[in-house]
Amino acid sequence: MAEAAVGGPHLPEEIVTWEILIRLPPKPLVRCRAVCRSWHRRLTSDAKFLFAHHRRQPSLPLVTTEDTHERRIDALDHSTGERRPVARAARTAADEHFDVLASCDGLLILVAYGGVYICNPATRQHAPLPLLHVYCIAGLYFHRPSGSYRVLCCLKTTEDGQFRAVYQVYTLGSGDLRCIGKALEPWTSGDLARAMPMMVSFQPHGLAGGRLYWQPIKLPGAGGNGKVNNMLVFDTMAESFQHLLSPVEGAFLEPFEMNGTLGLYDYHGSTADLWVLEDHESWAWSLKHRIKLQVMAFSLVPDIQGGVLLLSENEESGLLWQYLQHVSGADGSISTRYEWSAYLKLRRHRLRESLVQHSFFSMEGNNGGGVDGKPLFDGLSTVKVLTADISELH
Amino acid sequence: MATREAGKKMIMLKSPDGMEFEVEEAVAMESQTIRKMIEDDCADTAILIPNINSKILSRVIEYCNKHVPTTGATGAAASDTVAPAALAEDLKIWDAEFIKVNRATRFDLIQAASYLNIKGLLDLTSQTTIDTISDNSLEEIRSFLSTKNDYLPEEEQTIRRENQWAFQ
Repeated sequence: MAEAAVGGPHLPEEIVTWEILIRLPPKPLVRCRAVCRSWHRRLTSDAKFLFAHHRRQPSLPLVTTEDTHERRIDALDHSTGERRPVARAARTAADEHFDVLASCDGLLILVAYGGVYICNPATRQHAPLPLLHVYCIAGLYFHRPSGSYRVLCCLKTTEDGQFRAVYQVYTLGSGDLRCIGKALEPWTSGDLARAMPMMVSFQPHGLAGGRLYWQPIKLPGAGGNGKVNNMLVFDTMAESFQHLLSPVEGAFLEPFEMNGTLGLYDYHGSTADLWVLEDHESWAWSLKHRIKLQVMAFSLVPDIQGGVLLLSENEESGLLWQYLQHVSGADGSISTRYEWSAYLKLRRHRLRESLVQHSFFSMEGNNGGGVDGKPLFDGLSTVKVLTADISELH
Repeated sequence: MATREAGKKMIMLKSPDGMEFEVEEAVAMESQTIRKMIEDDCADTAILIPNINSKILSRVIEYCNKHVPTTGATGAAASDTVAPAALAEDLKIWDAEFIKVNRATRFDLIQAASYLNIKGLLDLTSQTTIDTISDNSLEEIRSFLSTKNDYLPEEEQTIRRENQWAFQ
């Protein structure tokens, strides 16, 4: 690609691309498509560059938030203290369901405006997923053997008066919906099958190393006390189910993706233990660290930098306040409290922004490659969130 | 390899314009490219650094000298008396002074840091360019990088329209 040049100090295109442009956040990079033709080519269709850029982006926790006029999904960047609005829905009289159902490689599946959408917030692209029902979506993953993105769907059926959970795989772009059968027992029948597609806690919690992991559950089994803690696993390469023993028992175990491997936080009392799956095949876990939590949390999600993001409640002059805090450090002493004006919920899904192009956004009937700011992405811009004096809490 | 000052390995760096710089091996190894050459035993007594003239190479060496971790007899004494936070602050001030150069020199330093793979120097020298592209208009970006706008006016308008949200 020969770059048109004018006189004056000049950098080789290779350097501009791989040392400068690669370090820019997604939004200014999209703007740079209008600088010149060679930049446009690179920033829209150079898959190697766009993928390398994606891998440098931070993986940010998502929260849903709402106020009187809109519901929003925001990503919180703790390192910069920024809140990045990702998608929004205006509040209407009907007040429809608005939430993030799955995430993978910068893509999100959202339920909004009465439908289910696949979208890329970084490119403002979206496409409807008309075949899929909000309650059936279990996870989104990249199927390496075919190079396609697929949605794992869980359907409930009744056989001889018994609930059965049956799984289907939907390939984005092709519209192909294929049954892959049942998961392992006991997840596939009885009470668990009944609960499976409906409850958020029965959705897979993390996608790591090409596998989807569900939260551990207590099962009757061979353990010393007659119980084992077992996790359902979906292998996205073979598209088949496996299971995995968790390292500890506990009522509050939270699996999450940690730089490509599986992490598991075990919350008990006022401590949080971080376990890491060292080897999937041999079920080898190791205890990485323990954080003391100085506040009682009613909701928390792990942060990949080795801390936790938690919501706590505090009563002040008869009013109940909700606080968002980031806690790290062995004694939980390194803590930041964020001022967040609206009601919010922590989600398990994370977003690592990506400008990689996907053909499924240019499907027939999806106008202009699905780039349409309105209404999902209308008027979104980054906001600096204020940190509050933590001493008020204690 | 030449040695000087009891136990300190020295290495010779040569620029294509014929200048030679004798530097401590530890200083030269701030460059991951040179480190790899030395570790793979590809380095002779002198290493030719292609494409980096003596003016830029001397500035790169100046940077590496300042940023090499202080070890050994004299280095240990220095870090015993100065707190790490003060050292970091001192380095920041030094960096800010170091980078007060014109755009052409800065671009040369970016290229040198990229070729020699010196992460700190690359971060330092590329930050202004990154900020310029992040915060300025297309016209200012083109002028800063001496890049010609090869779009027809209506083509540029179309691309701006397609990506309108990124301009807001």
